[in-house]
Amino acid sequence: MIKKISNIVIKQLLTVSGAITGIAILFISIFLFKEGIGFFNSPAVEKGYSLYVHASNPINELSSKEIKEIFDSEITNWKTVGGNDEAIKIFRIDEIFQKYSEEELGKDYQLLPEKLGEEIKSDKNIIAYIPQKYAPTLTKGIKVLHIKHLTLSDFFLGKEWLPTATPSPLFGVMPLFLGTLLVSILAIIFALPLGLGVAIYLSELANEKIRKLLKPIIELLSGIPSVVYGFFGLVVLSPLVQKTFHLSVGETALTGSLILAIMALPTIISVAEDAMRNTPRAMREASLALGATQWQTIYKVVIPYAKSGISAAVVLGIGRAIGETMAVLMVTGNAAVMPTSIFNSVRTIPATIAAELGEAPAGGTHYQALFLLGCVLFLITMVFSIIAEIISKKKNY
Amino acid sequence: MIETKNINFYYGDFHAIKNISMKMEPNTVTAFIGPSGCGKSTFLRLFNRMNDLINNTRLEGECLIKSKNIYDKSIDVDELRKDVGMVFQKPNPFPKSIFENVAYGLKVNGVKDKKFIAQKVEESLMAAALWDEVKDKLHKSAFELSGGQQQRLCIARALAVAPSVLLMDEPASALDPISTSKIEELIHQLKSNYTIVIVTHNMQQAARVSDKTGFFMMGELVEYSDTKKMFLNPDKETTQNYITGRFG
Amino acid sequence: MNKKIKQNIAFFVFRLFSLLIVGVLISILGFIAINGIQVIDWEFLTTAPKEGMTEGGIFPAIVGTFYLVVGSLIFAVPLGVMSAIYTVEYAGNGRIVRFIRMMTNNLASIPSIVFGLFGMALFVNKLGFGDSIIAGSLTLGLLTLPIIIRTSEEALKAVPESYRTGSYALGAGKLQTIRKVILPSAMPNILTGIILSVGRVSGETAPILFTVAAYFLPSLPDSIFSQAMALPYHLYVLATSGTDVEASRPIAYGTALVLIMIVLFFNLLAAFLRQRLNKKLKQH
Repeated sequence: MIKKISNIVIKQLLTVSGAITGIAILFISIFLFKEGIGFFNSPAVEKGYSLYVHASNPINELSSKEIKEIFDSEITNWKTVGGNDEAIKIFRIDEIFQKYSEEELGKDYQLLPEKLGEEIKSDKNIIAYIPQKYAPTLTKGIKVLHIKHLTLSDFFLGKEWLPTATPSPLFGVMPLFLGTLLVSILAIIFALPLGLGVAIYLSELANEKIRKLLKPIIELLSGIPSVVYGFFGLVVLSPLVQKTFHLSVGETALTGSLILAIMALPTIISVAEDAMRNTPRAMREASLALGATQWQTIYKVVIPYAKSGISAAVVLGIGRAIGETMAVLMVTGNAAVMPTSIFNSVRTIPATIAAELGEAPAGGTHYQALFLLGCVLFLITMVFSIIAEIISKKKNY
Repeated sequence: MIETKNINFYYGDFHAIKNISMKMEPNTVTAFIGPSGCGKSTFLRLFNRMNDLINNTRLEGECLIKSKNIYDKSIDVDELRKDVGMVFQKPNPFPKSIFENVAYGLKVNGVKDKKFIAQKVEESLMAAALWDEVKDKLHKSAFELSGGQQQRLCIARALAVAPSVLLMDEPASALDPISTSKIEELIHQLKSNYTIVIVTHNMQQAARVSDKTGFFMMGELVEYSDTKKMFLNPDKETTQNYITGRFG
Repeated sequence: MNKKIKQNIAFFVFRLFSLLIVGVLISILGFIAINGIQVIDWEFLTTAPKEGMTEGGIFPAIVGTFYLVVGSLIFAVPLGVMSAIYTVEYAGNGRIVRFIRMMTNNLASIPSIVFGLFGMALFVNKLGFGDSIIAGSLTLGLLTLPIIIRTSEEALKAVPESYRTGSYALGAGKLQTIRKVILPSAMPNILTGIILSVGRVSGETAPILFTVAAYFLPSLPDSIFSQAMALPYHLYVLATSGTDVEASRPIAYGTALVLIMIVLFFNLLAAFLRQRLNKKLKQH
């Protein structure tokens, strides 16, 4: 009886663990998206701060980009954001300390909120950035500016990633996305011919002895931790890139993609080699028997036959490269700007998460933005892995 | 046309072909018969140096085609294989269109003239008695054809590069009886233009298609004579036993 | 003749590429070995960092990595092996298996930094473990799960069908058969998978960044809820954000070499074991 029950329990347990990877993926998606989606409900202004304007100002709400441009003095007239044709007067809390002595503000700045209220009320074109702790007691004559929630397009199409800017941080993912794409695609451009060449050598040319030697070496290459690659890139490759191309810094998109290329090689080689070795012997013999050279046989018969496997290798390689974190973090220089040249420094999505999550307060907008980046990364790599699976199963004819 | 002189062939230590000398005349069909593992396929694959692809093998003796030793250093293997076509046991079309399959040999041998290629493809398909069945779907995948059609496509593919010798390694063993008889018919027609060597495990087939027959056993050529004589009145008792089905 | 020349050029290029790859590997390993070997001695391996990590050793990082490896295996091995048992012995060959396999592949393709994010959200924040060995181990365990599942599946499939039928014929139940016959004979191969994941876990940085890794700790961790230093993160810190990056360079080389040696040792061990097992299997 007991034995029967324990058998049933064990069987149930096995069933559950059978589904463990599915459960893990489900959990990962839930947690990433839960934190990430919160981003779109967060105000675009740093927590604990508000923006005030004069009550007569027709403007009721602004987007984070508009706020940023106003405070950067790129927008100087209310007309630009749909208000009256008047110059914008920016007010920061420090200015109050120049106007009033500490005594006048009272003990523990008791009188500060009152004074701030008066200050805002006195100028109808003012925009003031004030901590909520000192929120003006005054209610007439001034109003809190409503700040638009961050939108999908702010996030996905924004061209600036300034997560710690005040008063309004910007979370435009475009530079990171393009940076990731640039580094990964460049890496594949380097790695693909090299990887295919080695795969052809291994599957078609090398004799058994050399193959047995070379295969483990390539596997070793994939075993080296990414932080070691990053370290090598930092101390060897980036000075080399700097010298070769006479750059001011060696940490560039190019350096990152070179390191990534080395890291992607083992995947590309082994998947492509497997695919080529799967080409039936009969196909090769048929081609050779018609007077084709070995090379003609390789590129006219073996490679087309292995096409889906090779494409899968490429897709897998790009997927890996997109998700790679540490090595890229260490050698690309991490400038979150729109990439313009391969000799500039760029910042990728995973590197951004790794570099910034430690400093982003849990639950804050920045934290949520990084989780949203995680979601993006998760989806991209998932799509790549599914595509790879589909292509590798597809028949060529 | 083909002449071998004291050929010995080894896979590593295994002595697969034992001192075989024989001659094959132009425009004849020669059949190799014998129990499986007797070396008949290996011997056939020596004529277009297909065995070069296998590691750890060794050859002694001479193999002459058109009076030239094909194992001489001056021989260009690719040119040799162009002149000595081969059809394999299982149909092995490339994963390409019917047209591309037949055009393949021309293209890898540097033919660029499209008109010429198209014409050759048609001629070859006609010679392989496949043209009428495929002329409307030349650009469909070769894998859409039936097994018998695929094998005839492989024959057409071999004919397209204009060989003078055609080697056939059990070309009908994977086919149904109707397809087999079509292939046999085809062999008859091709005889006037090509020297054909066919390996078969099917004695009736050898009797039906060949002019001369060689009987192989354990790497040796036991008997080699006119097919009629071989099947009616063989010299050796082993041949007699094999043909009458007492072993193998 | 033209096509011969093309072939020669192409083949020359492929040989060159293959040499290049070997060259790259040798230069990476060689560079780190030559620079690292000079600082590695007994003291380096057994003392804590000193003088703002510009002197002293890496003992706490080695210990931390050891804890993380053990912790992640405790979590991942039973789960992974059980999952493989379910897939191979119970799930049959239909849709469920395809789905499980797809999920395993997908899990394997998730970037390690995403595991880090997840570990932080669930283990560190939601479950309130804080930055701790347990949070880091669970995160790393999840990351190595696909490796363990895949190798275990292969190991179970390699058990000859006759063992199963033999056991059933003696009246053993399915579970008994699995426990007494199948698992023992698959164990050596499962072990290679475990060893492989030890190599992987010791080298991962991104998943531990926000779940366990400490920049510097004066003492060794005293419970599974304390933070720990870890070799890969320590290397990252030394290379990029130490108190004096230039002065800690030699230590960084030493750390990199130790890390590589650990990872490669386990990879080679797994490869060696697999080869031996394959030979054995062929002899039978």
